[in-house]
Amino acid sequence: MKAQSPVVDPSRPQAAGGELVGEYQHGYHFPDESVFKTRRGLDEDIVNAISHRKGEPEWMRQYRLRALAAFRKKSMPNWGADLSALDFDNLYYYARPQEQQSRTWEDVPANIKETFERIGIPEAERKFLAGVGAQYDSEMVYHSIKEELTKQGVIFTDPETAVREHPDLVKQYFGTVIPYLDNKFAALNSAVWSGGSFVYVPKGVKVEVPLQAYFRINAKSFGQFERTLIIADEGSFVHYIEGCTAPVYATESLHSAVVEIIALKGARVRYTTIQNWSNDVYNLVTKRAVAHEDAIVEWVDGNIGAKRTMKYPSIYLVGEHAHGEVLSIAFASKGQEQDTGAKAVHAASHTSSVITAKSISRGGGISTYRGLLKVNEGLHDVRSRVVCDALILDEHSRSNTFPYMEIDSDDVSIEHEARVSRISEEQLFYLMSRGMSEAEASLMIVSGFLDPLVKQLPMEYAVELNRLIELEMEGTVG
Amino acid sequence: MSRTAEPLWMKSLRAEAQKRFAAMAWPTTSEEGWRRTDVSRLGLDSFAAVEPAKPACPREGDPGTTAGFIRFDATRCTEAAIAPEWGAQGVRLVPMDLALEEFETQLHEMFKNALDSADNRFLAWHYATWSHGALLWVPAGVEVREPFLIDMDEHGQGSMSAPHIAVILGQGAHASVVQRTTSSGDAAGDGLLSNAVVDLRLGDAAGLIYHEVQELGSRSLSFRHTRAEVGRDASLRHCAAEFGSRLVKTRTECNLVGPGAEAFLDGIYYCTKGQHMDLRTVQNHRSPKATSRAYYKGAVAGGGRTVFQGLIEVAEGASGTDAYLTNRNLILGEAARSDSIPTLRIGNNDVKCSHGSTTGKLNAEELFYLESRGYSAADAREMLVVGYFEDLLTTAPESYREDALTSIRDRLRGAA
Repeated sequence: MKAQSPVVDPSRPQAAGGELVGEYQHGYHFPDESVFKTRRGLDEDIVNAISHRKGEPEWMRQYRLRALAAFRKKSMPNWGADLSALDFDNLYYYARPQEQQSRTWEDVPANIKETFERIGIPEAERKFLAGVGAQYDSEMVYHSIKEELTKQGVIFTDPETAVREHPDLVKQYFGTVIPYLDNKFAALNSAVWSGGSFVYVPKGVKVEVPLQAYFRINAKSFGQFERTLIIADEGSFVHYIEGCTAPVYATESLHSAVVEIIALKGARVRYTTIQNWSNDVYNLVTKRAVAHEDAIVEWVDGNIGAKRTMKYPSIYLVGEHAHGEVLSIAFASKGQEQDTGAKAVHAASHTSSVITAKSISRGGGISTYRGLLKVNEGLHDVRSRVVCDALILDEHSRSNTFPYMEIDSDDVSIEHEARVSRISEEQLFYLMSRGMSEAEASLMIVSGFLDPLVKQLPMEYAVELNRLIELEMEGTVG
Repeated sequence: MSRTAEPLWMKSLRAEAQKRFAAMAWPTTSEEGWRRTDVSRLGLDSFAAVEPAKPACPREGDPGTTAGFIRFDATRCTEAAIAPEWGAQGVRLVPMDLALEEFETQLHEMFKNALDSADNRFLAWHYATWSHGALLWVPAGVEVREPFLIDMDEHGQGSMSAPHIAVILGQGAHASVVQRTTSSGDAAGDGLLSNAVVDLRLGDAAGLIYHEVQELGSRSLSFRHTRAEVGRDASLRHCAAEFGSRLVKTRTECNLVGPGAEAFLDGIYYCTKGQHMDLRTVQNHRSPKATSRAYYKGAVAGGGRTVFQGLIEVAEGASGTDAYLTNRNLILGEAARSDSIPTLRIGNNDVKCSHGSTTGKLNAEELFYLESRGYSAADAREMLVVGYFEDLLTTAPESYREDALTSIRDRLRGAA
């Protein structure tokens, strides 16, 4: 129907001011100065244009086109959060902020820099972070890697560069953990992916400081489709941190990332996310890791923002003595549906997994734990523990728990428990008798509830998370 | 009963159910509740509904130590009894055809709202074609001490039998029931498809203990829906024991409709090679201050497949809810599959809801200990498996406990 319209949006450039809504803390933004932007909607021409724009090799363009075909064929999930308002034809699938990737901080355009300044990236950089993959719209605009990491042979770049400079690594691993046929949103991402991170840690290398990328949406009705691929070679270690914060727009945005992690023999990968999209974003993400022999994979996943989140970080334990851990936190406020959880699939003997999920619902929000624990046939000595804790702060909010357990082996030990409760009158009474206001007491109880997650975070994230919880809790009492 | 003798409202209810049946498709694996049980290859359309028996007065039996009993040979009610003490107080345990005459108003109401909530094709099929069954009626204030027995011997190769059991307890009434479903004529053929409904209605402050044992033959298909409505301050204890059939698909749904109601849903299941059991419980809290517990324990031998799906659902106004759900699975052999899906849907913050699930095998140290004390491996195993189920059997009526233990032992020995 739109086949005749030009691929590049003719109305560009345009300012998108004056449509800020809500009281979102990071809800400021600057006139949209994306240089190249495709028109609304999605078809072969758009996919070809994205691939052409990135100067990709033919194999990646073909991959995108196959993924597009899969996206069209796959149906929407008939479970999970309510996605009925999502309109694929009314979204932009690609926008590129500037022509050249900046190599130094000085090259970053002033308005983008100011945005980053407000969310604290330069400070983080000044302190001790190894590399910053800051994302403005869908591509890296700023990227720096500490010298010693480069010397160690660590690759930390955007996936476009990886396709160009490390095609063999990309070909070997890209799409192997999450094939485009996996689900509708993985197919969509595979067709239009843009930006993200590519990390390769060579054998035996331990990256001592966390790698960090900050994502930010800043174009109206804009979908963002990062693609992250992390390969930890034998005996290596890396901690990757992803934080999201976005300006508020009146129309709804789609964020649909794919994150693939490969932890080879004896490697350890920790991936931490603090997701704080503004409350109009659909956050539909596929994250999956493969843990080989003796490997450890840990997902720390905090979801505070977004209108709808569907995200279930997964670990496939394919080698003996592999271990997986997921710590998941969700905070659902007014108008939000946090449909989150975790999956552990045991495909080898002597493997273990621990899933801990905590959720808070308030102001009519819905939080859902949805998880899978699967033990394949013929395995021995498989252990797993899944614990879900939910707190409901008022009578209009909802909490659901759907833990699926599929056990096909006999030599297993599987434990699961879940609890749903509210802040107890006794706890409140005790704290208030000690001179706290009801609001202070509630905040203290909620902070205590979330403490196991907060403890797992690097300090500046813990500070940010605590501040966010404080903001979220404002006005809950009274 | 002969359907021509049925009251007009029942005829039109069957016609309405038939209409719904025709309009619905068989549940498919794309529906969550049926995702793990594929009925598409069972040839369901080839099962014709059994012909109801001609009305005949059942033989008057001797109740013995029971409060009363009723026996069926396929669709025919062969024998019934009620202890004089309870008969004199208006307690009735009668085949459905007689009940439709005596309790027409109550049953009309009951069937009507049951059909309204029939949400799948099996239930529509049941209400269109239900073939036989019984009603237990206990008037307000009558507290029956001894258990009632309902004995159903289901047979009819290649056909669909649709028994319907109804229990109505008046305000403050108390009763205990053991219902046994067996099939004696299972030697050959395609087996029987049983499409049963058990409908339990507890008035305010009533108390019911209901034990079901399913021992259908190894070629049978068993579909059952047990639904209960528990009134204000009433108490239900329901225990289901599943042993027979090559495929079992049950839903035990308890609606706590009155404030202060309580329900305990217990289940034991033993699944051997070639069997597929998919059991679902629903603890539906619709009133404040109600309590519910579901506790399902299963053992699955090599080549067996079990699915347990439990749900605690709390309505927005059901404050003060206290609900717990536990599922335990014992895996006894290679190539055994056991899925456990205990779920919560909570729409209110004044609740205490939780669930737990464990899956594991027999404890090797305990086995070793017993063997070191001179027990054979088979005996040690049997002791541990029986011990595993014991907490769900100790308080059960004698007949139920014996049935269950015999079934468990037979299956353990058969598997060894």
